[in-house]
Amino acid sequence: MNKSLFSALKVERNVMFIILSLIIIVAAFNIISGLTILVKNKTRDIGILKSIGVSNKSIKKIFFLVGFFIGTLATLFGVVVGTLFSIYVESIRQFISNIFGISLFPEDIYILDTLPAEININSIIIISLCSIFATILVSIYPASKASSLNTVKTLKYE
Amino acid sequence: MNNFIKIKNLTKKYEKNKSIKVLDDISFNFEPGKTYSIMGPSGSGKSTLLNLLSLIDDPTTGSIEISSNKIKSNNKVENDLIRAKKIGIIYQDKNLLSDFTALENVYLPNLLVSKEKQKSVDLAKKLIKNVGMSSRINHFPNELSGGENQRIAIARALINDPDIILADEPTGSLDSDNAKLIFKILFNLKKKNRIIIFATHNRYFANMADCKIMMNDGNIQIINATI
Repeated sequence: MNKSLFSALKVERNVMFIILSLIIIVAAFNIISGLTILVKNKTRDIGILKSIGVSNKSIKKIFFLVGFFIGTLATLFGVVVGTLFSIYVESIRQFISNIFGISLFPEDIYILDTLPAEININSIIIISLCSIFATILVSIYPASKASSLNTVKTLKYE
Repeated sequence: MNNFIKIKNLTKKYEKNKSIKVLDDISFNFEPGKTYSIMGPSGSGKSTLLNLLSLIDDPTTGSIEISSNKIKSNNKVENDLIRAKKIGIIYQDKNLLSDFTALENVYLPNLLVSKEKQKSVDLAKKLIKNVGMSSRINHFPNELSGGENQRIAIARALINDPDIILADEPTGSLDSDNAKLIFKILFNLKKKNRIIIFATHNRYFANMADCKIMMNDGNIQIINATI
């Protein structure tokens, strides 16, 4: 009985990992599209910066830092919200159960009477670093695109 | 110091569906302390010539020398540095960064070179005062009129004390009073042994230059060179 339960939990855990990984990929594409739109909106400004002597490397650095800043801020926000969620997960479960009148995490199926949550500092650090690394990776493309824009064309951009 | 900018056999072609020759084998020397006006119909190559002189575009063939240094098109880093230190550029409109105040717009090019913020800010304030814009120092470009924007753009173009000022139709979107004021400021700059080169459609202002360059179909013709 317990063997099949743990096996099911393991499958659930793997599926959750895939779902959360997909969420991170979607978030990464959001950063790419957000930065691409920013580069488009700031095309004229890029031209002005280049006309006053700002190098392509500096332009790249500006947009890369914007992406990095957004990603880092989002990671910190995610860590805070995630940790709070883990601490108050049982209260949140009870609140949702009461509001919608449904039984989340039923005791007769899961054996446990409260939703267990464990805060693992190492996991938080690894996930945060992975998230920041993903941000760094996806910021490179829009930043490179911004720096490679033709100055003459950017100055004519309306 | 003579022939501060030397252009030799400068040609610019745009290759897309068909080859368009915008500049056709132009050679000319620009001397310091002189003003040059460039006139010509739209599409005659005025802006292209200014873009090449400001090193934001590369010629197809030919060479540019600035203060005896031959410009290498592939050396972007050095060209950016030359542009930052030696060339001040003023465009027709939308010269300024919209998210920055007038003061920030002016001190930014100096901060790039000197890396000393306070020094850059002090210098910017002095230049803004010289163009009569002290009261608008903390205003954003969208809070300034066209003429005021151009005066701030002139202050910005001067902040690194450049040897060359390039202006591409700087009064193209201004009324006559503001245009006169802008040109008065521009012509005063030649006193410091600078080269002032401006493109304009206005014959009155063009005639005030020491040398009038007429452009047509990518060729130049020198008119009333008083130098």
